[in-house]
Amino acid sequence: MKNNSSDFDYLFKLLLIGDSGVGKSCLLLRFADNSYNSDYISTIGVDFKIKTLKLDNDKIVKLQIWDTAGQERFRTITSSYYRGAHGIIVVYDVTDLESFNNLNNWLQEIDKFGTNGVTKIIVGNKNDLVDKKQVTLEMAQEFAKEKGNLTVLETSALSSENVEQAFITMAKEIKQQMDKNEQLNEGDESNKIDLSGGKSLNGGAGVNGCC
Amino acid sequence: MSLESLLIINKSGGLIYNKNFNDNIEKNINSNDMLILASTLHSAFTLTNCILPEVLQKYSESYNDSKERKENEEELDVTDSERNKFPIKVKYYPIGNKVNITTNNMIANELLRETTMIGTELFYNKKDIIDYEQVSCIRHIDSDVLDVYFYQSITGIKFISISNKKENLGVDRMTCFMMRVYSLFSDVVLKNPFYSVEMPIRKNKLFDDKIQMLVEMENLV
Repeated sequence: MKNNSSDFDYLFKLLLIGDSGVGKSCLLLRFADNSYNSDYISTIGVDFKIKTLKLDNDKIVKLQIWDTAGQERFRTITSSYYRGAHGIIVVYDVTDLESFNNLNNWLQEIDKFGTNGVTKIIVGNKNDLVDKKQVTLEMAQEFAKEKGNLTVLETSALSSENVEQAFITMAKEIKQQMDKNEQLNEGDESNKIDLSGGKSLNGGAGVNGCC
Repeated sequence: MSLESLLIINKSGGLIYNKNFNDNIEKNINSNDMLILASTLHSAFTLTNCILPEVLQKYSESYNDSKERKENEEELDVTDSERNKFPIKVKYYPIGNKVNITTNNMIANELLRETTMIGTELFYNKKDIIDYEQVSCIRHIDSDVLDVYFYQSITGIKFISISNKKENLGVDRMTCFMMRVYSLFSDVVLKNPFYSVEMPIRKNKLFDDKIQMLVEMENLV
């Protein structure tokens, strides 16, 4: 009767959002199962997969990735999944300018439903379709800079270019954020009392002496 | 032996603790499957929240969390008769179920040793009825082979008990049991300075032992 939950140190909840058909499910399938399916199957509601990673300090992290439906009619359902997410990956399609322009709406959605200070990255998928490309990396980087220096990555679920990179970047950023928060709680200088300037009790007694 | 499994799920839908009381589960289900099961149950719970009538939504803690809903909250017109239905009353079940008060108190003393508990009234036989503060969207799922019982704490942590059909346990009894688990959780897990909130409960032997003890004393295994 051992319990299963003890074989990993951290459990991070990641969320994939973006317009319908940009390849969120394909990205996840490539990352979690290393496979690819060229058929388009619209996600209904929410789907999730789990991937185990080992970070630099030998800590075992389980990424639980929630893949949401991009279609408008699922919006009320999917918005309730933003709660408690550690990281949100916003996906657009590099061959579809519309999906890039919609990034703004998705970021607003995060502000509305997500936890404050949630880690965000922007991912441009379908980067293998070079001749159909409409959104350049420069455009995306400029946009990301405006929105608070977000990381931008161009990926391809078909050729698996940058896919692992995207999720690992995310995991590392979340871990950094967590460590930073911990340090902030422990090492806040203003809360400390400086004892170095005081004299020790024994020393004080020595100076005054005894009458 | 009627309780099969106990799960604790954090408010974002991740499994943070599970304990199986049937060795066959251990052989057949790995930890990823368990995580998926937990998140699926969480999803079902969240979705029922979305289709809840407005009157009930007002009482549903997890639903109120989205900022937009909070603004609408005051506009809701709740009549007195509707208001009187909440909180739901849960019939109190003593730990040893059907044992007399002295024995029950002895069991509780044993269980609460080494801890300083706030929710002691859940362990000592003082009340007949407990106010169940929260409208939980699902409290019980009844299937042909298994019963699943839910209890959601006021902070959004979900406790789920999965039991077989060998004994009809009843919603009230299981709610009482899970409230006690919640008490132990807040006492033994949350007070541990090395525990980071919302993360898996790892290598907490005291909590493991207490849960085992509680389950045995409740005659659930």
